[in-house]
Amino acid sequence: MVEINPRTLDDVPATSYSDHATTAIKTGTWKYVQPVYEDKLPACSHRCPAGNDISRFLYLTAKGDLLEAARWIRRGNPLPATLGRVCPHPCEDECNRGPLGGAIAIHMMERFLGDQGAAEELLPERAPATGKRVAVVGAGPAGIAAAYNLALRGHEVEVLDDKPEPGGFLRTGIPQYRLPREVLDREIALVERCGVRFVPDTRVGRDVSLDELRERFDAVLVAIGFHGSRPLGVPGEDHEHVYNGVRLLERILAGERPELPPRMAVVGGGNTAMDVARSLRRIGVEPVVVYRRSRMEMPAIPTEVDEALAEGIEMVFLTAPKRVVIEGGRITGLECVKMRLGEPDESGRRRPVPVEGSEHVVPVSGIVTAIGETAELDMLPEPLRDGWRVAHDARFATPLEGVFTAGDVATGEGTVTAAVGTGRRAAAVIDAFLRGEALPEEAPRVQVLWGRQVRLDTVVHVEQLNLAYHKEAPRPGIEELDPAVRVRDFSEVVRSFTAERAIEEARRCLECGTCNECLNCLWFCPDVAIHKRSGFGFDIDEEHCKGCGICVEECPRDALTLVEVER
Amino acid sequence: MAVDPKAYDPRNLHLPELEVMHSGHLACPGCGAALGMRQALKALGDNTMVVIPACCWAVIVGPYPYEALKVPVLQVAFETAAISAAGVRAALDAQGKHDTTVLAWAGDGGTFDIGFQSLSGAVERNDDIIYVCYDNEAYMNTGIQRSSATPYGAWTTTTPVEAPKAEPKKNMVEIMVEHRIPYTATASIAYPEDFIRKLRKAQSIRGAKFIHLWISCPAGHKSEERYSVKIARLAVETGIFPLYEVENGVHYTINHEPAFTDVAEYLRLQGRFRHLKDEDIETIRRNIEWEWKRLRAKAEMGRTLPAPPPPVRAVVEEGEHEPSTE
Ligand SMILES: Cc1cc2nc3c(=O)[nH]c(=O)nc-3n(C[C@H](O)[C@H](O)[C@H](O)COP(=O)(O)OP(=O)(O)OC[C@H]3O[C@@H](n4cnc5c(N)ncnc54)[C@H](O)[C@@H]3O)c2cc1C
Ligand SMILES: Cc1ncc(C[n+]2csc(CCOP(=O)(O)OP(=O)(O)O)c2C)c(N)n1
Ligand SMILES: [Mg+2]
Repeated sequence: MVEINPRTLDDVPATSYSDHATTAIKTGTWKYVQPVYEDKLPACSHRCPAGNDISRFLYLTAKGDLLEAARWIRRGNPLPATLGRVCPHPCEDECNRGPLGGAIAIHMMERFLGDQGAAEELLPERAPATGKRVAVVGAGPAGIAAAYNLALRGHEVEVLDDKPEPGGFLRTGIPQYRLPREVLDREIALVERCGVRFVPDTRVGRDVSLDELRERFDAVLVAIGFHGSRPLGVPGEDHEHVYNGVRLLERILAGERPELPPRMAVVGGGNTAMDVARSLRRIGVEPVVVYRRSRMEMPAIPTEVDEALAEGIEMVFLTAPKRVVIEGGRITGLECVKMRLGEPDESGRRRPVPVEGSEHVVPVSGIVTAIGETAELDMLPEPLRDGWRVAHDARFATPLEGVFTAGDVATGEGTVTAAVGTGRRAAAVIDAFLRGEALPEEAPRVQVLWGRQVRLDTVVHVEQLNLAYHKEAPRPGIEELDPAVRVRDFSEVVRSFTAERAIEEARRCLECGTCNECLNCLWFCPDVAIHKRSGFGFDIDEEHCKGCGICVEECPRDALTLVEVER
Repeated sequence: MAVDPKAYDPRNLHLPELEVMHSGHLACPGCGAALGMRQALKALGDNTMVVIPACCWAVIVGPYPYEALKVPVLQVAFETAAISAAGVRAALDAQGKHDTTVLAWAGDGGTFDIGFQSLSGAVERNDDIIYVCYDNEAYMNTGIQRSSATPYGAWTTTTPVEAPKAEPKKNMVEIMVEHRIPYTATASIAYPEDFIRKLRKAQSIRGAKFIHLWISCPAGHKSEERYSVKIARLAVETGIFPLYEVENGVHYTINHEPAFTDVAEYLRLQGRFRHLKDEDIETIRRNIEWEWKRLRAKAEMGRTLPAPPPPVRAVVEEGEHEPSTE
C-alpha cells in the first residue's frame, strides 16, 4: 500500500489525483467462500459400466484431436470399436443433452474413435516388467479387458480359452452384421501387441486344472462366462431338430451352413433370440420368434428388436411353448399357450400367467431355444462354486488365495460393457495383489481408474447445468443398410459416422462437469480475478477474488465449486 | 469438410480481450455495477474518459491515491454527471482530441432524480456524450433509499415492508426517447455482447446517447451474490426489463425476445420482494403484459412513421465503427 502522510501543505495536491492501481488493495481477504475448478462426474459416465471417460473423449474429438481421443478411450478399455457396436448404451439414457435435441450418439462416437488410429500410435505405454505372471481363464470381453490392463501394468499375461479363437461371445454369439470380425480381430491384435498371449483350445478342468494354474502363475482370473445351456422343459425337446440357440449360432457364425428345417420357432426374447432369428433369416430359414411376455419386457436391446422387425421377422408375443408336436418322427409344430401379464416379479417385469384353454399350435418344422445361458462350473474346485456364479467378495477375490473372477460368471450382468468394467476393476485388484499391496476393501470404481482428477461423489444431472447457455441442437440420424439388402448376407447393418459427423456430434456434447475453457467464469468475474493460463485452464487470483460465486453459477457445466475458505 | 476440425470454439460469449479495469476495487462481492463497468470499458476501449458523480461507483473506483480504472476518471457532484461530461467533451474538442470517448457513468438516483435536470439539459443540447445509467433501483451507496427507479412493491429502507413502494418505476428510457436524441438503449450485464454492441454503436454516433443498464445489487436487493448475473438475466427473460434500442426517438428495435419466464422466479431470488402477496405478484404480471403491449405498439408505430422532419438534432455517422466482437 502507498503511504499517505502529508507533512506540509505542499505535499497535498491541489486536486487529489489517484494514480496507483487498486490491485494494491487485497480485497481477496474479504471472502469466506471461494471458487475452485473441479471437474465432476457426468451422468453418462456415471452410468457406463465399462467406465468410459465420455466427456473427455468427446472434448478431444470436438477439438479435432481424433487420435488423442482414440488414445484416451483406449487407456483402460481395449474394446471401444466393439462396444460402440454392441453396447446397449445406458449412457445415452442419462445424457443431459436428451431434452435439448436428443442424447449424444455416444455409441456411434465410441465406435468411430475405436476404429481410429494405427496400432503403433494407439496404445498406452507399458509399465516396467514386474516379473509376475497371470493366467486369465476365458478370452471373452472380461478376460480381454483384464489381460490388457494387467499387461499395461507390467505383468505377463496368458489367456486360456477352450475355443479355437479368442473373443468369447463376441466371436461365437454376436453375429458379423453387428460386429464385423475384422473389427474384433483388430482389437484383439492390439491387446496381443501389449504382450498378452492368447492360448486357444485349452479348457480348464479338461486340459489343465485350476490347481495347476495356481502353481504356475502368481494369480488366476476366472472369466468363463455363461456357457451352460438351460433346457426348455417341454416334452419333445430332445428331438434332433430342437437346437440350442447359442450352439447353433456359433456354428453359423463360424461359417457352417447346416441343413436346417425351412421354418423354425425361436423361443426367447433376448439378444440371443434376436441374433438367432436374424442369422437364420440370412441363411434362408424363416424364423418365428415366440416370447412369453410382451414386447416391452423383452430383454433384448430395443434397437435390435427394431432391426429384426424391419427385416420382416415374425414375432408372437405372450405365447409360451408347451410341447413339441412330432408327427411321424418329424416336427410339425410347437404347441403353445397364450399368456397374460400378472403381478410384477423380482425383476420388476410383470409375470406371465397362462390363459386357460388357449392352447394352439405354431406351425414350424424346427425349434431353436434361446432362453438364456447359465454358468458351467463343475470343472472348478468346490470352493469357487456358488450357485450360478463363481463365489467372490467385493474385490472380485474368490475364496481361493490368488484366484479372482470377472464378467458374466461373476455378476451375471450379461453385457459386454459390464464384462469390460468388471475385468478392469478386477485387474486393478490383482495388480495390487501382485505388488504385495494391501487389497482395497472393494474393487475401485472404474472411474477411479481414469487417471484424471474428477470428483466422483457428485453426478452432474440437468439440474446442475446452467441451461441459459445450452441451445437445442438435433441428434443426427444413424444410417443403416436397407433391410431388403442386408438380409442377403452378414454385412454390417449400421454405417459408421464420417469424421465430419463425429466432430459435429462431439461439439453437441454439453461437456457436463468438464471444463472446456468456455470462458464464462472469466467474462463474468466482477473482480477481474480469473485469468487464462498459458496451458489448459484458469488461475484464480486469490488476493482479489471476493468469493461472490458468480463464476460457479454462470459455469454452464458445473465444473466449478464454491467451497468454504479455511482460515 | 463443412466442419473445420481445428476451429473448435467452446465460448458462449465473444467479448473483447481488452481489460481496462483493475482488481482490488471496492465493490461488494457480486456487484453488478463493477461487472457493468468492466464490460463497458471493454467496449469503449482505453481512449475513454469517465465522469462519475456521487454513487457507489465513486467508492468502488478506489480511495485516494488508488484508481480502479486504467483511464482517467473525474469525480463530480451528485447532480452533475451529464453536464460535467459535456464539459470534458468540450475541453477535449478544444484540444483537438475528438476521438476520445466521454462516458458519464451514474446511478439511478443520480440519473432519475437528482441529476435529472442537468441530464435533460445536456441531451436537449445534444452534447456528444455517452451516458450510462447503471440502475440498481435505489440509492444504494447511502443505505438503500427509494429512488424513482425503485420498482413497484420493492422494499427499501424508506419504503419498509409495511408500506412498500406503491408507485411504478419511472420510465427513464421513454423520457430520453422523447428528447429525440440520436440513440437510446437498454442493456443488461447478463447480455454483455448486446451491451457491448450498443456501446460501440453509441461510440459511432455524434450527439447524445443514453444507455440504461440494469444491474443486480446483492446488498440492496437482498439477493445471493452468486446470483447477480442470473437475476439480471431473469429481469430480461421475465419481460420486466426489455432489451431494446431507439434511434432518433422514433425507430424502435426489440433486441431480445424474452422467454417470458414467470416473474415470480425473478422476485423470489430477491429479499426486497419477499413480502409480496400473490395479488401483488399478479399486479406485476399484468404490468409486464401491458408494458410489452405498449413497447410493441411503439415499435410498430416506428416502423411506419417517417423520420421526424427538420430541425432534427441527430448527427449520425453510420457505420463508422461497426460492432465487432474481438
Ligand atoms: C447371441 C448373443 C448376443 C449378445 N449380444 C449382446 C449385445 O449386443 N450386447 C451386449 O452387451 N451383450 C451381448 N451379449 C452378452 C455378452 O456377449 C456377454 O455378456 C459377454 O460376452 C460376457 O463376457 P465374459 O467375458 O464374461 O464371457 P464370455 O464372452 O462368455 O467369454 C467366456 C469365454 O470363456 C470360455 N470358457 C468357458 N469355460 C471355459 C473353461 N473351462 N476353460 C477355458 N475357457 C472357457 C468360453 O468358451 C468363452 O470363450 C450377447 C450374448 C449372446 C450369447
Ligand atoms: C447533493 C448530494 N446529495 C446527497 C449525496 C449523498 N449521496 C451520495 S451517493 C448517494 C446515493 C446515490 O444513489 P444512486 O445514484 O442510485 O447510486 P448508487 O449508490 O445506488 O450506486 C447519495 C444520496 C451527495 N453526495 N450529494
Ligand atoms: Mg442506485
